[in-house]
Amino acid sequence: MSYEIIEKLKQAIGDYKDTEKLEEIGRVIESGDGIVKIYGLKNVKSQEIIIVETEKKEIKALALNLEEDSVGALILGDYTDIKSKDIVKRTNNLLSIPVNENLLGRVVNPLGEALDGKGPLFGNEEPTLCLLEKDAPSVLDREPVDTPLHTGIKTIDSMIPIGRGQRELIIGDRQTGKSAIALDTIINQSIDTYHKTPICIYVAIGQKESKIAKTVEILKNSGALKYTIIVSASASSGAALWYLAPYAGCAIGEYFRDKGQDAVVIYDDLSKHAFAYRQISLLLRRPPGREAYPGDIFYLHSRLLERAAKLSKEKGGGSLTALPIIETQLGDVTAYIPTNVISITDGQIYLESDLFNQGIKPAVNIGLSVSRVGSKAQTPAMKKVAGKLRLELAQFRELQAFVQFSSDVDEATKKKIQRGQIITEALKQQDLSPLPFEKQIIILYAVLNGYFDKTDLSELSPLQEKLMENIEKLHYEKILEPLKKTGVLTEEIEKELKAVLAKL
Amino acid sequence: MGYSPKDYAQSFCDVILEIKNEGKINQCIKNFLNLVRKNRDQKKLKEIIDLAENTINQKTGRRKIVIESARELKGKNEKATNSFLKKTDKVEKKINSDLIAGVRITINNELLIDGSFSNKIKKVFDI
Repeated sequence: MSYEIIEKLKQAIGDYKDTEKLEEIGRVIESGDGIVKIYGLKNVKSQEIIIVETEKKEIKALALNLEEDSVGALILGDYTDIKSKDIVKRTNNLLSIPVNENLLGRVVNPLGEALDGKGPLFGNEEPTLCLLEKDAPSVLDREPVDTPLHTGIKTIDSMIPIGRGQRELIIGDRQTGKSAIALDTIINQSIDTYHKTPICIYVAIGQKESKIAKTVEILKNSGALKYTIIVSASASSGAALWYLAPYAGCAIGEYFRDKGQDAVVIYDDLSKHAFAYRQISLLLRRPPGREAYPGDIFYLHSRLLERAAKLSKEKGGGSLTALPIIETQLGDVTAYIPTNVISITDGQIYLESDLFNQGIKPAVNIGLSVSRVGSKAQTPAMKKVAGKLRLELAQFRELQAFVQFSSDVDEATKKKIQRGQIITEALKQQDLSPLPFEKQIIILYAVLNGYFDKTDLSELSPLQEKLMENIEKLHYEKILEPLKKTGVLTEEIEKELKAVLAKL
Repeated sequence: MGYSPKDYAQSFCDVILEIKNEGKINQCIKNFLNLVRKNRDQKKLKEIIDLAENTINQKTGRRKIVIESARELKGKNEKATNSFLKKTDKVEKKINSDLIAGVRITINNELLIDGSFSNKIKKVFDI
């Protein structure tokens, strides 16, 4: 063992080439709150990594403000040791993160350092350095989104379908189940085998470390951690890492996208990202705009979300799906940051506190939620079955005011109200219980064709479970398996299903 | 109206570089210090002096060179280090034992040649 260490040392010393070169340096003139002002470094590039040499150690910083006489930089680490007159050196490198398949199942920070205590990230394999700031794919490099990304949530997969390469915003007040939707989506990828399992990247911005630990445990217990990477910028890590975290997650997703694989990146949440960028901009003395946000707050999110795309076959056919999360205050979707991100994304899933308090979980407001990709990202079977679901629910919403007076309305209206109540009850789903799409199709088929019309609302959930158990045990090869493999509800499958439902 | 240290330094340099008479230079310096005191900007004086020094060096082609070495340079080492110096350079020599060996030369606080042993160790082992 000591022989190997000595040999490695000898090799390192032998390979060293002594070349003194003239380096460009600067001096710190101001330091505080994670920002340093540097005199010198006239040729430094924007977003370049620079090194501040303190007495104890070297600290990395990111050059952000290139002014006439000075450079404003963001410290990527502990800034308390930095003093005035400390030397600052250039590295000629832009900010990047090392990525390869070894990151799967690991928790890292936005600088690519391991946080889970499971040892070094990369062994002998050399990782690829992916730039955090990169141009989005051009129009010619893209192709239309046509492959579904199943979340395992009935409401979303039937009425707000998400495709691979789409950007779908999850928006709602605090404690309405936004992160739960994201986690269910990740867990469902191991259950849903219709398409190849995508790589999932969960970017936790400004969250409590206890919550991140809980998330890791949930993913581990459900077997989802093996295809998931967690990028964590916890609440105590500072504005610099909060700002960089989404870009790091996107850079990791792009690595897999450019290799022809599918990837999903969840930004939880971009509201905190905007707060961090506001803090950094104000400390850098950039002029504040509306609500004290800097003028380029839209560009902050647009350049991030534009990198999610479905690439053409010539470019490998990979995709990067983005699920940004935004937290609203008192349900106000007309606020500055929510409206910005709504205008960037290809649809939104709007979660309401009122629905949550009524016990409708997931608390999705179907009326305000939309997917601009729509049924192009649905399997043919789901398209066939869920086609009239939105309409039925819309009609029910119109008639909801009459629910309390249901004895005073005509028979047709009563039936519509009852059907709406059954559909609403059938769409309810437990947390962390994603349902594969073939089972969703069966339940929705049964609900929309009136098989549950005479069922009491309280008995609907156990009945669904009984139906699923029956089909799994007795009719797997004739119903579930062909649906799972083809995604098409053929006449034979429908005939078989009708027979099962009639018996039930 | 507040003046920035850069404004003070720039205007001071512009005036001082035009004066040829040494007596007038001293008067100019007195006037400048009185102006700073009148504007209550004494706190900015250190920064103004640093900026003024840099500006004058840039305009006159002078260099401020700081030579740090682990031990006092003598004989061949001193000759080698002084070989690139010009008569107009302002040279400051410092002893810094953290370098372990070798020299580190800073030019105008903008350029650095680090030939110290501590730097080589850092590069070899990527510390």
